[in-house]
Amino acid sequence: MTDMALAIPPPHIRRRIGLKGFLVGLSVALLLVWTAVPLFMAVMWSLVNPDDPWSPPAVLPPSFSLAQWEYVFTFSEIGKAIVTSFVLAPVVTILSFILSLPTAYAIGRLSFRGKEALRLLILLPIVLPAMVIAMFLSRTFYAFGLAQTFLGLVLGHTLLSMPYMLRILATAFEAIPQDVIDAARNLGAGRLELVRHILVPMVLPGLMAGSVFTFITSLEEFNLTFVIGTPTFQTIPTVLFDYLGYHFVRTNAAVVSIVLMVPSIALLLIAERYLKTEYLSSAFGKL
Amino acid sequence: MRTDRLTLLLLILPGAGFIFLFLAAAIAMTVLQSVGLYSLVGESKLTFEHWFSLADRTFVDSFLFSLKVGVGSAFGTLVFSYPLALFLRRRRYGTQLIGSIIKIPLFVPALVAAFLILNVLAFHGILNSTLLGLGIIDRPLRMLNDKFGWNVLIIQIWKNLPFQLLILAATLESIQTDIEDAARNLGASPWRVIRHIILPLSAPGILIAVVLVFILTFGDYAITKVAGPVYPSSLSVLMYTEAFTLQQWGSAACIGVVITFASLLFVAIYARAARAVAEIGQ
Amino acid sequence: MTTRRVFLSAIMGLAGLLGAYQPASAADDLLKMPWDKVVEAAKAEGQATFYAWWGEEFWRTAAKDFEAKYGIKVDVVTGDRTATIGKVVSEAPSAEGSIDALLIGGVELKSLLDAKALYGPLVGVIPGSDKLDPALSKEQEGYATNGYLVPVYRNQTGFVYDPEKVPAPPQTWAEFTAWLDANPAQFAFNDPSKGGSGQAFVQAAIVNILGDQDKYASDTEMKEEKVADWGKVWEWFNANEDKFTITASNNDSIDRVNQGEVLMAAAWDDDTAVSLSKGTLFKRAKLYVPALGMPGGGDSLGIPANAKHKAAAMLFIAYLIEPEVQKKLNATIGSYLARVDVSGENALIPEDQRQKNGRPWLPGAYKGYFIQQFVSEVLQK
Repeated sequence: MTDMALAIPPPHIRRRIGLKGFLVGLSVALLLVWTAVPLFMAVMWSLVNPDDPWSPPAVLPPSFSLAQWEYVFTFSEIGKAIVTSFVLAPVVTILSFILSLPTAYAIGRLSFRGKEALRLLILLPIVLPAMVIAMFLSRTFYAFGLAQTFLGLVLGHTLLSMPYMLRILATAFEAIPQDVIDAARNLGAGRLELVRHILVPMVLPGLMAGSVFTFITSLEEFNLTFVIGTPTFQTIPTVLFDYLGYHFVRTNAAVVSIVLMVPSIALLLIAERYLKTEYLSSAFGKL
Repeated sequence: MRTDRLTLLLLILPGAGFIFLFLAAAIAMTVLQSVGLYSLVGESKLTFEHWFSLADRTFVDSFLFSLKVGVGSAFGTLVFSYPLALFLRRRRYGTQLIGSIIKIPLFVPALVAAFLILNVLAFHGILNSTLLGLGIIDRPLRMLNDKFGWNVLIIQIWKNLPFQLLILAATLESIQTDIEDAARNLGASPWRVIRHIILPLSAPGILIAVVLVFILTFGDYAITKVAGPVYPSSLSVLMYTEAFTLQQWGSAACIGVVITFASLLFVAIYARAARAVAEIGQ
Repeated sequence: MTTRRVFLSAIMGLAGLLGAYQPASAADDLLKMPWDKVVEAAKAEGQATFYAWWGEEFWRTAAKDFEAKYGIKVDVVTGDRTATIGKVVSEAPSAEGSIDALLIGGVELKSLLDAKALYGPLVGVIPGSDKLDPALSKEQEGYATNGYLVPVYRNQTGFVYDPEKVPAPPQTWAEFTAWLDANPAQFAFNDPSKGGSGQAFVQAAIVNILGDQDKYASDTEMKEEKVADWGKVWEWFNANEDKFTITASNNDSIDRVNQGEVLMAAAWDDDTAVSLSKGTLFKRAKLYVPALGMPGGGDSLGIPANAKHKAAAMLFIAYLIEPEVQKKLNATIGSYLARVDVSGENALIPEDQRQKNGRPWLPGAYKGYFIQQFVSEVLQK
């Protein structure tokens, strides 16, 4: 959709541009309300002044303060959790890339029997219920001494986030037209040159998109970390779960939510140009 | 291009082998423990007693609840995502912006989504305040942890809308526009074009979108745990409670098997639908 | 080369022997050693890891002050309670665990006692432990703790309410039920499987409807004949279903009061104090223990039997029950001191009200049973 060339609207559309414009404006407004209001409320809750509670009928907090932020960063696990999360996610992304590259190449460029089944297999970790995988993988991990270890977390996170890397890279490999490769060959390009000048530049956007998804999936992963990692390792989502569940504190939860959400959305915005519809849909949907 | 088998195997192994190994370990453990084998606490022997223990109200209610959340989220999201996908299909002023805004919840973690929506739905949250202000209601509505699970449904729809939209957009994009243009030139109304051409052609894509959201919400733990009704819980929550709170790993494993195989069944449906989409694309 | 290898392995073997031998003997001695020797050993260890599931503000501040005083670094980890107890139990078979001391409470503590995963007895050994609440030092959740658990604070459940809208809150059970009739759906308590204040209210209902709390006392196993008439309690809950709001956690109940969704809710004193100080509950809110009686108890500290830094853990526990530190605990997280020889200032509930209307918890076996019964007989109906 985003790749389609900007077309000049045909006459019958141009005539009704006023109504269309209004409809577009209205939907943008509604969507903004739909996505932005929940985000806005979280920011409000994170700024509640402890000396001036926010309770009805006040629609907004009566006064603002950074005390809740200070509290969370002074006393909660968030500091350690941020470190764990942001060490884990790149390691998982790199490991996923190393493991995915050959397999994605095979799926994208080679023809062989059982490819369909293979594509389905690599989708399974993201469609099978994460809690089941987490709980029963943890039984195996306990048997091998991997539970409550960083290595165990790396392996578990890689299992759950690698499918994005694999599927998007495969799509990227697939998208390289064979004639480009043939033409390069005919022009006498060697293997190395082929890789350097054709494969790498053409796969790079896919690699970026795949990395963004893998990174964010690891960052957001809750079930497996909760079962295999806590209490030894806390990541931002497990800290958030604590403040949402047994120990529900709305203001703390608001702060941790923002800490968790901002890097993901920032990554989305930075990487938006790589996130072509075809990659996104291949990551989740298309076979 | 043909490659010899060994090279192929070596290429496939790192990625697919890794996934296969760990998934097989997890699923095998689930199945074995559900029949009493490999239990880490207590003695291990082949038994079906855990399966019989499932025949109680709590399990049935949780199963029905998970089913309701799965079906409700899948179709509830579709109600919003399909019209949006149709609307965004042709590039107009603003569609790019809409496309970007709508993607945001895709990158909002499920737990955060739960928290965000809970704030909106709170007794004096923004929604109740607005409805009160507009004079639509006299008293705020009680929406938190409601018995039906509306909370969970709204959160799931919010979270899954962009995801379904992406799949639908890709499907609609693969439908050639010339059929549509021909119909239009013959004087068919936009509604007739949608109903008789676009809808049937995008049916497999719709099926994929619905099935995937179903699978992703049917096995949910975190959102139900945080926002779900006091009773019943979802199957995943029930499974966790059985295992960690009650130390009944056997019955937890049985619930795990039920969730896994229900999901696998839907993955199979999804695979067929996906093949159909691929054929339409060609 | 070979000689070197032999030499090396001999050293390593020796080191292994020493390593395996020394902590065992040192550990035994710690409980009999004069206290200044324990302090010395603790300083030699130099560090400890402490796990708690809440109250992060207090534990982290205390750890910092403790380090300033003794030069021993305490790493405070806050994490899920069930997960932490599960970790201690699963580490119990290995020679060295990774937790040196932890906060212990709730019905899960039984699994720690059953697994014999704790080091001690500590009560009577750690200075000041003889000044702690005597009942809580002997028994927690109805289980005899045999001195392995050192109480660190007491807590009490009551009703939190908006005094502007409830000028005269109900005291007796009759007054309470009349209040419920007059204010339907204005009273909240949490699902008893998700927090103690909901359990407290269910227990209060059982005791008030059926009478005679004493008959359950000190039973370690549930006696069928004593719960035969509990059906009446579930009938009462079902008949009044529309008059309650059942919430998802202790703090969720308080949040509903803050949001104005309900006028009154069952709540813990310490949770209420924290909500007041964090600005998540309006300042005019009040907490009281009604005359109908609400349970209270407390939580304790313990050391895993395989802790690496036992002396440092003991010293940290001793520090946490010092009078000044206890007062600080009370001021920071609102829980009441475990010490009975000093009193704190942050008491939402006056001491006489606590004494008069506070009740012990039913033994763990009964508590576990009513939590489960509430699900099957009330929530499922």
